[in-house]
Amino acid sequence: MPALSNSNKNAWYEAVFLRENPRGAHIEDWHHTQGCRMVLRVKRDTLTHKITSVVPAHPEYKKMLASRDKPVRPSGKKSAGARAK
Amino acid sequence: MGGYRLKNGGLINRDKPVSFSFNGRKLNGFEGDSIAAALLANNVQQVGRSFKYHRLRGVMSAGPEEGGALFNVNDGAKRIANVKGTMAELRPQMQVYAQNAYPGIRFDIGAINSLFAPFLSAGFYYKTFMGPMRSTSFWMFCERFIRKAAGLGTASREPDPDSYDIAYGFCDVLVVGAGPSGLHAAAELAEQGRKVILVEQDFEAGGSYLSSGRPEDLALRDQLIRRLKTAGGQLMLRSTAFGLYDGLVTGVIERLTDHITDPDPYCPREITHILHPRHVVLATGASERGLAFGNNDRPGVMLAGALRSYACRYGVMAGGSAVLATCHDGTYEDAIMLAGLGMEITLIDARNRKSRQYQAASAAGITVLNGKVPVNVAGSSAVAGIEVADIDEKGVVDKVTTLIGCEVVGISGGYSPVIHLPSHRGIKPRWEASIQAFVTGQTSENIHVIGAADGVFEASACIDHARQLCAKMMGKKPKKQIRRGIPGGQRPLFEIQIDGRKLKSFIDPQHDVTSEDIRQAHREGFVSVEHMKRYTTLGMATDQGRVGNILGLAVMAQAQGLAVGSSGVTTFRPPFTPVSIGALAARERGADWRPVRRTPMHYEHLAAGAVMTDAGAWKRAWYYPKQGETIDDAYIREAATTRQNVAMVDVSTLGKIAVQGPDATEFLNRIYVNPFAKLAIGKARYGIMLRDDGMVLDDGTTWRLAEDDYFMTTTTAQAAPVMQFLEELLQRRWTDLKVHISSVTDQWAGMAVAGPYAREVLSAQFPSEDWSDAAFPFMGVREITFAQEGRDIICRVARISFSGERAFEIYVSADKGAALWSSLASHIKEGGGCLYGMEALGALRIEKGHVTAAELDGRVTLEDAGFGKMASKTKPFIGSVLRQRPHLIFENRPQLVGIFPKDRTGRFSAGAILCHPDDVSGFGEGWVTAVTHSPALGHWIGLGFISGGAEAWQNKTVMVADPVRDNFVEAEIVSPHMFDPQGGRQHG
Repeated sequence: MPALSNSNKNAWYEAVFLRENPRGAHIEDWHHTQGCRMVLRVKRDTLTHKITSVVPAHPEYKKMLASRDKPVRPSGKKSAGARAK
Repeated sequence: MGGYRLKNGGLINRDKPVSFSFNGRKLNGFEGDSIAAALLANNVQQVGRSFKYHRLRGVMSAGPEEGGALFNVNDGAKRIANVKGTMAELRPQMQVYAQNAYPGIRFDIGAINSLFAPFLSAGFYYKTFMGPMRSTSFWMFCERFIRKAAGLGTASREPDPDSYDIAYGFCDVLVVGAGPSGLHAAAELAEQGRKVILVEQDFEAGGSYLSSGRPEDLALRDQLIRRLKTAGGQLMLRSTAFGLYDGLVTGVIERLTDHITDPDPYCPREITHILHPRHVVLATGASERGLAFGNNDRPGVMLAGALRSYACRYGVMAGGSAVLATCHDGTYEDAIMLAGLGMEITLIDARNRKSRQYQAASAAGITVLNGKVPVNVAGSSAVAGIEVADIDEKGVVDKVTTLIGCEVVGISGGYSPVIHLPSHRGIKPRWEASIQAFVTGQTSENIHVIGAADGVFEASACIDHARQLCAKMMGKKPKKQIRRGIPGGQRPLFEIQIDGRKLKSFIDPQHDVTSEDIRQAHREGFVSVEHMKRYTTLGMATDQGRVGNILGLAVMAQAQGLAVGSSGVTTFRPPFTPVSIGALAARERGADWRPVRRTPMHYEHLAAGAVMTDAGAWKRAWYYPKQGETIDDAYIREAATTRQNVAMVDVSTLGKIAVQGPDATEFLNRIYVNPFAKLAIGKARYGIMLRDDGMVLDDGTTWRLAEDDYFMTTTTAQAAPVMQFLEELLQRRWTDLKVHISSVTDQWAGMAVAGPYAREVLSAQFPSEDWSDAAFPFMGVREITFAQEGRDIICRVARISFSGERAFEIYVSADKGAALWSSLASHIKEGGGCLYGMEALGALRIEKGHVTAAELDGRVTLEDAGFGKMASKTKPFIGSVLRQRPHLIFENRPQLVGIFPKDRTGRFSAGAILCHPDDVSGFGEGWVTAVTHSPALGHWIGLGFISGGAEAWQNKTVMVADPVRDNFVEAEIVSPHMFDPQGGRQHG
């Protein structure tokens, strides 16, 4: 979607009404309304329905989940550095 | 001699005789019989009439491919149509009825259809009912007669008294089919520690072991079942895998009570299992297919293997003498088994060379004739004999035929693997010439096809195939080459025709599709098999083309001059066998169709005598009738009381969203069309939001409770969509905004006290608060804390009005809602006020021209609804660009107006069309969205939309046209603000 400040009618028209409907690899957003209410960015093959990746659409949620899934480093050195940033 | 029961043998329980009725006639069978087996044992040869031509039909098979023995079972509400007699288990007192035959099988009025056969050929419906002169009304006129004459069973018209369930299951391996391959695979995989579920559609496990006639096969079967169960595997009988879906999710229908005379009333009739396996092993076997030749649908013509099934599994001989017509060695085994049980058999083999089994067959007393094929069945209501003729190496059939007398005919054109389930996953079948049939093609999914389903027909090869799969799944490499096909090979044989003889030869007996229909489809230009299928309806009946599919393709290919199999095959779609709608709906029917939402004051409404109504999933108070009052009496009184005194309505169903965070103000300013940046703390504002495309999404009030804390209300109907849209905006588009939103609809009970004396009621309830206009102005917001049972209860109050009167909306924690409501209600009653419901709410808001979902239907712009001036010109907001699309700003768009009947005693209905009085036609100039009797104005009024709006229709007359109710009323168009347009009453 165009930025809210964008007043170009065509840009909005294309974003709202002219959607790609590709055969094969496709990135789409799913809203998990019956569960965590998160909007998820899903990479899916429209031909086979094979889903290759699912991440939260919101970058902060994505970061949060990624840090949670990361294995704990025994040295603790790098994660300490990351915190300092 | 006819059909009879053998003295011994079979898997039936001869100690348990079962009495049942067929078309009212009392008959006997045994426990373990199928309906078809019991009918054959009683020498019932004619069991029904066919779909289109009403030809006599007998039992044709012993499995789910049956196209003849279809029955109505049970009476009354429990009647089930199209029950396959070959699959349904006989039970005591079962009532079985033939289908499609009135008044009886032997004398059937519809049989006259066969005289009109030339007119009922392929494409009959298309040709007769489509085209310039053939309107829909012509079809509708004819339809009732056609429906009566054609078709199969008749469903009960009563509500289904049975209950159904849906169950979810998980396993490592789901094995479909408990024949030799499936049993071996299931037992071995379970022993290797896999969680295995084995499903079998039959009421006995064993598949071909059941009809082999060899006791050692049954012993092996029992041993395999024991091994499976000991290893923790699960065997589900009477369970059909009907569909294979994304991610290998498999639908399995389990039939629990149809075979029981007096089932436990709490036991569901069927359970739909939704299984999530990691691997699916398809051991679904193969169906024997027939041959197309003259009158091959006569009662007594059966599949050769079925004759053996009835003999070996049920101890039933279909007749004393048989001609078996085949083109492969498989039938020799069947013939030898049947001859051993006393059937007199002539075996005609289309192959010109002698089979390896020739000697064995001759030794069993069978007359084997090579190079001969069946041409025509003699006999009208049953088989009297069969005309056979010589066939040469090139497939040319001699014109000279010989008649061989017999009671039954067994035919076999080979075996077609059951490949329906992989087809559901979009796996394209592959033609396998060695078996003259399609097998499953390649797939990357964890779907494994073994045994006869993959063209492996020998029992020992099936076991090897199952073992090899198990080894593969355990990570080992396959060792042995698996032998496919029938040992001894087969001669491709599909249709037998003699030049110059026109005989009806059926391809799809269930749908009455003949080989001539297929040739006609070809002549009329149908090339694709998918088109041929739809034009002729081949394979579209409940057997889904199990018998006729390959035959039909072969006839089509021959007509096109192509090799059989090159045309491809039609796509099989779920369900594999018919599934009751009830089993898919399970408990979600009637009042349990969806959850019911009750407001916290629900039982207070009931106690006050409210009549409730549905608003989406909500139950809401509609009106509170006093003794003897109609709905009109009640709502007019309630609305009038609101205007003159004071009344209260439950508004808990409104959507409520907590919008919190440092950027909450900015967020609201972006989503509402009107400015929200400067809303003061302690104030509420009415706002409208649009969709991206510029149409109105919703309206409501948003209250500022603190610097970073807002309380938003939405309409009841749009609560969920608004929440969803706001979440999407924050998570996808405006990820930099620090805002948290949370639905609090269920946390707050809401009530609106409205009327000139609203202040007095609130003063009585909260005497310490100042309710003066100065202290609590219009659009003011206040939090009130009061103590109850030692706890501080917080109440949110805003002075806002939907009714147009001085009004307060009060929200309190949901669990305190009923108590506060009751307390307010008693204060209201003391002052002569009342409660009001949805109907009065509607009357009040229509008088005021306030919009609801009836007006904001998703096709309305701000200007259409009269809100054009609210839109900010200085800020962008959602929809601000696309609402300027040319089509949305042209002047003559329908706009919100009020409607008065010209003769004030007249009335009209919502949904009526507003027309120019001289042109009452088409879509008219507008429409009516809501009507009410206005107590304030003393006549009926309406809201609606009309081209150009009120200004364009000043001093003009419109016709409110309601042709459905035959009501035409002249009306005048007025401003939608029909009562107190200046708003003096609500502002105070």
